[in-house]
Amino acid sequence: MEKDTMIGELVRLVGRENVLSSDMHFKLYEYDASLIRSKPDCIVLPTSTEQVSKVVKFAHDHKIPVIARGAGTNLSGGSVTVRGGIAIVLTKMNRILDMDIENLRVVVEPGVVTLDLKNVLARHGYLYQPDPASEKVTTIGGNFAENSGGPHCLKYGVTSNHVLGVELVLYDGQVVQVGGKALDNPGYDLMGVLGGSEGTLGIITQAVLRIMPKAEAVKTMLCIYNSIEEGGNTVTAIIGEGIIPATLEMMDNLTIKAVEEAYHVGFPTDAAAILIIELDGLKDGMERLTERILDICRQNNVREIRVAKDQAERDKIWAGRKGAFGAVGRLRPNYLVNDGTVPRTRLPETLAKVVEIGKKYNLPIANVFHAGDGNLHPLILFDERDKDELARVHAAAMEIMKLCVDMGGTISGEHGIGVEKIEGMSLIFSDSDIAAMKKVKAAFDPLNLFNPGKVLPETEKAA
Amino acid sequence: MEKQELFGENTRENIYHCIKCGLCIAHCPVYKEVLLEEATPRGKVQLSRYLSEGGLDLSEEVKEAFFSTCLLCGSCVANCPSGVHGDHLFSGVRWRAVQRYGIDWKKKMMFQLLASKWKMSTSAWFGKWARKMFGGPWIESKLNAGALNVERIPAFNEKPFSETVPEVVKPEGEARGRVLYFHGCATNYLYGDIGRAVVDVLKKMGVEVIIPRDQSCCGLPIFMSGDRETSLRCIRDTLKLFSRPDVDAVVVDCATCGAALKNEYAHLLRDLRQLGEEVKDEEIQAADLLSAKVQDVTVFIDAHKEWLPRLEGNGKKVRVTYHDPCHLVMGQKISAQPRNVLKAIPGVEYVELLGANDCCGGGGSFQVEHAETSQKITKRKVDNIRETGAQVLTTCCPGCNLTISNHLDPAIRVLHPVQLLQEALKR
Repeated sequence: MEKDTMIGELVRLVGRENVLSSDMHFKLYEYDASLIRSKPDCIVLPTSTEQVSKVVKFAHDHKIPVIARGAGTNLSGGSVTVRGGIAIVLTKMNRILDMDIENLRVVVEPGVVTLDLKNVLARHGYLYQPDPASEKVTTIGGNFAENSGGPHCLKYGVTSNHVLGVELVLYDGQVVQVGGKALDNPGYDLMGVLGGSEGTLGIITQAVLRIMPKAEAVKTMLCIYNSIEEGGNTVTAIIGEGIIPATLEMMDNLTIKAVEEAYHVGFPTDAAAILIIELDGLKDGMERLTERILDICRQNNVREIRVAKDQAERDKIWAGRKGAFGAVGRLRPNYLVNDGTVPRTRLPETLAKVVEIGKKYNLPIANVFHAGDGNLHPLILFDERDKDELARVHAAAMEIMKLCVDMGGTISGEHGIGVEKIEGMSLIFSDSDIAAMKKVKAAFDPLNLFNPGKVLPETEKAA
Repeated sequence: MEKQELFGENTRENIYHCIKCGLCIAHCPVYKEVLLEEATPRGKVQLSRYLSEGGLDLSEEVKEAFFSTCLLCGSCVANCPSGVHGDHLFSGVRWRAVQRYGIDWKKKMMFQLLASKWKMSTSAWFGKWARKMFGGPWIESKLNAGALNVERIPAFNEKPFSETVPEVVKPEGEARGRVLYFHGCATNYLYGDIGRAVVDVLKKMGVEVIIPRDQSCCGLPIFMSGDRETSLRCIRDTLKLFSRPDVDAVVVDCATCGAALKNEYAHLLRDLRQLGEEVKDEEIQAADLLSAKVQDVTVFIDAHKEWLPRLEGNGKKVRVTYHDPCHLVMGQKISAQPRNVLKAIPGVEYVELLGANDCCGGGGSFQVEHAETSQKITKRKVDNIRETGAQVLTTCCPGCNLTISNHLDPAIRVLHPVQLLQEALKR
């Protein structure tokens, strides 16, 4: 179909003010927070489910790829139009539709910003648990599509554990309901298929979320270590004792230094590692639990422990953690982040090998990780203008993925596969595993028009 | 004529340090209303990159993105974890846009006037002339004043403030210090009362106040609009008068002027030098000296609060809140001191404002040219102020004062914190 005809049709469907098609706009919607860039052929900003449905049907009828996009903070290229097509930007669908506080549910449109929702809920004393570091910008739709994690997912689970139902636009424009407000819904568990499917199966236009009352008490501790091993051993020991804190976050020296420069939160720049441990729950027993944890830290040679005295001190610590990715942008212009996951007992060993990989490819690697989940975030630092360096970065990233798999883990914990990790899929899945997933994809998207080129690699057998 | 490079070397490096994480978006007042990527600082950094590398034409549309979806409030800079100076890039693009498309003649004339220290302003007919000129044909209809209600724009001072005070004001009682006072255009032409309050308070603290009569515009509104050549004249004039080692501080009563003098001069001079402009080492040294001396007047007062005479209450309670101007809280990282000053005044019942550090939506000429976006941002601010139940809103920026007072219920007074302090000292 001619591009101009397509744009004309889209204008007819969603209105002139909701269609962008200039060279400037193609450049503005060609990226996310990963290294991948590729221009869409047109951008639409629908304001209703009906409009989304019309656009999807139109695209399907004319075999044009479509891709849903929220804030574009994706770390794996998931929201980049690698095969062109229509970018459906959902930021204008940002209403909270139903606040069913008593039943612990809210219904939102996909463009609602995660933190905006949390701020609204906070006024009622409630909380939506998932807390990706980018929560102040990211949208619920994007979080669900990528199945985003975050520090508190150690105790509360990832996004898909909190999305109980969706309104879904199918390839032919049909709008269907999947799941709902109940915890267990009759029939096939399609929610399990949709969570983390990266927009390859359909486009969600509403989500039913589970909310929780805010914890009565919160305790945040900053534990400072002279070696990464001792920090890692602390994590293993705490969970070994049967304690599941709300968070167990770790940062290495390079990250600490970058964060301190950016945020001046008081992290000691000479520490080898810091651990952010947060407890939440009832007031009763909180002090006793804190003491037990601090004991474990001491047994593992903690250098210093700082317990946040108030909300302001807590906010400071978390601002440092949540801005960590951006802060390493001060060290070198670019980074590539892996989010491989290993069994937490093997964290220290894995980290040592990550350091070796950095040395082998002559690349600085900063580490920040959800230690409790064994979820690594090695940030490989470089300058994309240096082509040789860029090639080494991709090789190192592949080797880290392989390392995680060798350690008994997997290639991604929360950032999605997108394009950046698509080659890693064959490290964990056989050709027939992938072929099975492709059957699911084909059932939802027979013409392969929803976010093509993502998640599932081309395999000989499956092709 | 367009010079070869769009950005100086130091400025250009910013485009490569943006990792597109998007955290800036959460702090952009314009994005919240517009919801498009061109409104995001990230988006404009990416466009800057293409413009710099030659991959994008500076079309009318691109120009529009840089002018109509950015207040140059600096929120993105203050919140960028990678330390990217989007503001430097964006004003660079505006400069290029002005070279290509020219500048609105009314704006140009205004800038020339500001830069030439409003020479005619010293004559007696100035007040009348200005009111006629800018209150008449220029802003005769609401349409032309954009988001501002013309009837509620304060009248020009009968005489410019600088004409109403001696050039050197001697301290009362024991002499404890000596400052230069940069009063900026707004105080000079619109808010003479703020200027008199600053002088009055400092005098009573035992501070000698020097008010150089020939001072001009700080240059910030001018270079933010892309007219760098004119702003360079302002910078040079200001450096000559204010870069002096023999004073304790250069105090300012305007957040925007303060940010210009503190942060922008040295940067801009270095940038222009890299772009081939003749800038002397001494000028850069002078800019660094000035930067070290500049203090918002509330910062100076708070640091020397023991110099204040005993403050008396009059038995009445007044509920007061405070709005953080972007160029003070983001640009200069100042938030505690103005509040400290307010809380030290007997009878002030201080209440915190929800979203106190959110932009007021004014942005100088932004509110005139991009009324719709501006009004939406201002509405949030005004609603939050009402919510506090305050009788007085204070802020350290005459620009914010103009915007907020224009939209706020007339019953709520809008003052500089120093004005409340002056009232307490009069008792």
